[in-house]
Amino acid sequence: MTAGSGLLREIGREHGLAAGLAAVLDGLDPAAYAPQGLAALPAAAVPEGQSVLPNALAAREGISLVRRPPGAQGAGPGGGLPPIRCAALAAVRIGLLDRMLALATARLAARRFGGVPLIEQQLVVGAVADVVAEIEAAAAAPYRQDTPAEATAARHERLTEAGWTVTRFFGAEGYIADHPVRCLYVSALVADVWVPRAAGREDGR
Amino acid sequence: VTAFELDERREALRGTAADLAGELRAHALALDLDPDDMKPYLDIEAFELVRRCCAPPRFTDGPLRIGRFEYPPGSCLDQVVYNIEFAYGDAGVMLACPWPGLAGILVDRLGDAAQQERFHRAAAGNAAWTFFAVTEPDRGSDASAMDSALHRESADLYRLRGTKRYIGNGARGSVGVVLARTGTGPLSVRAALVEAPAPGLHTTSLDTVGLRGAALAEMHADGVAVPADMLLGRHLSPTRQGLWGAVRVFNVMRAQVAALAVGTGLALLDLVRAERPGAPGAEQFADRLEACRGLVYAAAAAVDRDGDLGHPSNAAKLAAAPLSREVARWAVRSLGPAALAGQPLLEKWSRDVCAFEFMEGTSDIQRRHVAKSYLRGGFPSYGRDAPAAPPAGGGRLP
Repeated sequence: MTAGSGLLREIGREHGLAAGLAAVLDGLDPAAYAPQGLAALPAAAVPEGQSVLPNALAAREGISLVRRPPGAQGAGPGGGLPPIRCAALAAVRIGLLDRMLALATARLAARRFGGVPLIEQQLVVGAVADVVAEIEAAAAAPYRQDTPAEATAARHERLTEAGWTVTRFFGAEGYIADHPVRCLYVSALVADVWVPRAAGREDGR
Repeated sequence: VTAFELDERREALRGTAADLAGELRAHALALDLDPDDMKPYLDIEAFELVRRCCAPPRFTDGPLRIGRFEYPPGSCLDQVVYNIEFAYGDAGVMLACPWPGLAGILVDRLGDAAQQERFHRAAAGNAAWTFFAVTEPDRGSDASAMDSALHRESADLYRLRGTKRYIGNGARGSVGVVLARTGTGPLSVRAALVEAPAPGLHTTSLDTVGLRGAALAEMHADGVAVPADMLLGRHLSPTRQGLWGAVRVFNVMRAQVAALAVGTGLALLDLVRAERPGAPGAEQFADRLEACRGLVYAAAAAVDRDGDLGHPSNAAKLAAAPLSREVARWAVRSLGPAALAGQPLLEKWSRDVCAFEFMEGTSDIQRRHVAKSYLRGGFPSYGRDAPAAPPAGGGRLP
């Protein structure tokens, strides 16, 4: 069983994506759930000799994309994580957003355009407020076993969009691969692997 | 308002570029993995087309010719026409092209004959890159607020000091243009021709999230010697020596970035169509991307008519860059679980489209310019000139 959403959010915020993903997958056999036989795993949990897809950005974040992950023989292809684990992953992603938004607003306060701090520019004020509201709404979402796949996928898509808004606050600086905000790029990748699509549900998964 | 239509000459250019785009696609993933090793890509045919459309004919095998048509260098519309097709192949490979680049556009506008000769001689061939160094770490692309400085040491020598960041080809460029101040006023920003390597010039490659073919770098100048005759625009009036030229380059650049966004969006669209025929949303995005293509063409044509005209390319970039990312997210959602992990081009292009937001001014910067221009009457075709009442005869649609 996974930790509570508050704790997962804190793990994401304080310890990052790889630690958060480890908590989300705790006690689970990834092979049984990996869609198309593909899994996103904490790099530290991947045994040597495993088939790891090249992805430099994910590797920098301590995440490996693994083909045919270790686990139950013959399991899969799975349909992604069960709803409660997807909710756990959402909580981790909210924690990442907390941390990156704090970093971003500190940066915006320190930079000026036309003599006015960026954090006071109207377009920026609106975007910050929208992200805060999005984070609060996501954190308030029910943490349940029976959330429909469509709702789960939509929740994660909204987190991806909120993450893009936060990423934009860093400007070109955030497009450099060693910038901390890369965790938001990689968290979208991790969600793409593990969160079932609504179509998957229609297929009976 | 009617859709922008290309004439026969440009349709020929578009067709040729589309034919060459496949070669760019074939190298996309390998170049993304290792953008530092360019040797395998130097003979890409598309690169030769770009050079012939941009460099003065005496430094190439002459202007591009397709059938009975000729393409003299310098047309922004020609460039967006082929850039959309080449970005459909792959924008990252496209940006790795050895060509005179943005610096070349500025040198052609501000340089005297000797400066143009020196620059284009250094930039000629299939293995020479150039840099256009404007952006600074703490100033973004706000060229008017830059800190880099050219200190006059003697009548014929300046020393360049300062740091530029996010400079395409900054580490592999052999020649380029650096913008810096000779004083404090708005007219003190000058463009200096700089050759690399040079004593005091330190470059560091920056590893980027995507669009890695652009080979961004940081350039730090610590007393780099710049002879006075390497300052561009000496033969022009003070108002035309520095920022004026840079702004005209930006007007061209924005249209080109918008073209890259449209081309990448079209590539993503067709990836989905191939993998999941009939995917919901495909027709809507096809329609929006084609509209955006027309907007980008129109913006480029406007820049060709009047190089000072910035707002059409502001609007084109504001429409195209977010759309390309929207298409990328739709593609991810359309292609089933783990699509990003299982489809390397989808994953790559999903990273690439994010770059368009940060190139040549973010969407917020474009919004400022577009709104300001609209309020000054800069978009007359968008309804403000429309008659208050229907024209005589009813004006009914068929």
